[in-house]
Amino acid sequence: MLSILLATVTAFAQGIVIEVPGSADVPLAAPKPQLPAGEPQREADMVWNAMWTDLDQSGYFRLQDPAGYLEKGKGVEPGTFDFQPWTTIKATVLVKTRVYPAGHASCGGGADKMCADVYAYYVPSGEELLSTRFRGPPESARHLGHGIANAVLEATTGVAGIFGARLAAVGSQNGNKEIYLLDLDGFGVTPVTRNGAINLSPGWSRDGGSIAWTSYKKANPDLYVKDLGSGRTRVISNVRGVNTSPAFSPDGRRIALARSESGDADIFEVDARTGELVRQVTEGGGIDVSPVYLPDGSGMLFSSERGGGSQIYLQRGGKAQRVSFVGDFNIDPVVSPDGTQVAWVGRAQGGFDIFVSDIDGTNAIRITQDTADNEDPTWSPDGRYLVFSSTRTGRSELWISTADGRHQKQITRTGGWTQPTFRW
Amino acid sequence: MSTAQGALHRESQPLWLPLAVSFVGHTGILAFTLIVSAVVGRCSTPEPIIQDALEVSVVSLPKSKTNVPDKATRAAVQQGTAPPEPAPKPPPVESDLAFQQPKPVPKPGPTDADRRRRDEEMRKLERQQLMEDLMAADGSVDRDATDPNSTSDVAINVNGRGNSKADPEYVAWVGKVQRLMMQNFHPLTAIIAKNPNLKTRVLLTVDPSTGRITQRTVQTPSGVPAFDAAATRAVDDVGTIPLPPEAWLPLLASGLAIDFTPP
Repeated sequence: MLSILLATVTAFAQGIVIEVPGSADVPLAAPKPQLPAGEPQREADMVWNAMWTDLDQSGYFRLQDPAGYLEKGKGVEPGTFDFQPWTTIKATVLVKTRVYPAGHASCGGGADKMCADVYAYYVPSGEELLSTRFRGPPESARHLGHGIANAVLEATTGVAGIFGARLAAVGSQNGNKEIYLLDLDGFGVTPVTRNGAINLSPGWSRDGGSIAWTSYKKANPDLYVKDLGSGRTRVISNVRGVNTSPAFSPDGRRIALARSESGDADIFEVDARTGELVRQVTEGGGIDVSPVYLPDGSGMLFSSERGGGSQIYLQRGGKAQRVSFVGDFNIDPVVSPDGTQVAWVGRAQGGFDIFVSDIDGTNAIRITQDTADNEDPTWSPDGRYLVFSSTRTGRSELWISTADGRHQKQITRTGGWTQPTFRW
Repeated sequence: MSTAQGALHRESQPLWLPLAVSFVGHTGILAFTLIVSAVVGRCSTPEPIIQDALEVSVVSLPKSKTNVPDKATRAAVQQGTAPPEPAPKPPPVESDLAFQQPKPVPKPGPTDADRRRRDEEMRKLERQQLMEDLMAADGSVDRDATDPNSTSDVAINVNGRGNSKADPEYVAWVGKVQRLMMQNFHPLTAIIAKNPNLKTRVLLTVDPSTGRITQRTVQTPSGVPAFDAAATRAVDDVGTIPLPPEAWLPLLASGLAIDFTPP
């Protein structure tokens, strides 16, 4: 009898139970790197700035302003500092860095290598999450910062970051539309074309060694492929009419593209090396464009007007299935690296927006809205992000967003950027 | 006339002269062509685009020169044998209705210790009875106050105010506490990915006049010290919670449990 009563007391004692799920946006503090006394600050600043930008873009952290840090001049290694100042400002992850310039005895990389050490801590438990040294030439300081950011992401989320990845995109800053490569943080812009004509819709080969694109340099919109290693360019498709929206097959041996030699554009596959026709994928039924292979090569997504307005279709084994059902105009599908999701551009109130759904079109969400035109989505290699072009600032810039649209950050700031595509 | 003279003049030239002129001319053209083609060919050599790749290597960090017991400390924290928490809070101000940790059930036996324990339990039961008098008791525990779709039948009726889920003031208060805790609860994704079903229950003692959290105890650890640390850290960072509507205050005095879970 007594035990029954006691059990009742215990149950009653826990009068209110509230469930609290964890929240994202982990508060992260990252003080400026430590540097040996008297050494120049420039490379250390480049390392820290690249890391800071990457962690900000990652969507996992709420970066805490260094102006509010209470700790000054303490060490980076465990035990050389106290966690209390970081607890006071409610930091959850603490990233401490130390930079040794090239030739410094503590770096040990010879006269031409600098070092960047990173220590990451989980403040609530004081646990060390990461301690790693990155070493490289001084001109790679930004890449050291990317390496640090990727390592911090791996230590805190379990998956390494993709920062330092390369994009291909169309830039029109010099009046023409040329193809450029650039880093995910907008730095490292390198021209691929310099022909003064209109160049559009770049697409990477899976090995990252080649880029296919459409160019009007001989008046007709023909398809070219450039080997980025040798710099050699060759024509792959130049039938009369358009030769556009190229996509390399997963094995890199074929290129799918839209050609309009017989009227309405249809999807064709050609040999990626010789340009010889492999097969015609679609035929008739209105314009079919923007093909993209599923990662396992089992099918293809494309946009088509076969049902009236332009919609996204998934074709497997010769049978096409519509996967977009929001609105009357949906174009430019891109499939996630794991093949489970598709992103595309849809016309919505106020402009064009990016939509994401499961590969069969279910669970569609709109990740941009009320921000002018948002177009040209491309998936990051890890499937966690989408990069796209947006006119929300008044100029066409590249933006990065988490795949759920929660965090969106601007990448470029010079204007004139469209059609980004990730190197996978 | 002049034309005829010219013709005569040409006829008088030696035969080898035009051949020599032709040879020199063609040789010059050939040389020029070779030079131009060499220069143009040199200029049109395709440039490699992948020329900005920079080597960045990851190397082992040298051993720390500090004599810090970080490894041992961390190991102890991992095993739960060392308290990772900051300095202990001051003891709570205990009111008649303050929540008490459940004591072990006394074993039967007429020892003095058992009698004292029994007397203590009886006093607790008396307090319990007092609480029940305050409540129009058709239930005692609301474990699903935060779940509007719950089918649980253990909702509370306090002072005749009815079901907790039907009281918008109570629901709003629960939401406020939940948001406050969420804003300060940041478990690492890396930990959650490996352990998606983690749950840490933290019991709070709350000053019923100010809402200040005077004591917190991990009642049910998750098994992952870092996750538990995130939970207690959230409670510490919140510090003070809003008080519930007056009718629900007795329940707060009897204890508030927070179940911390992954997002």
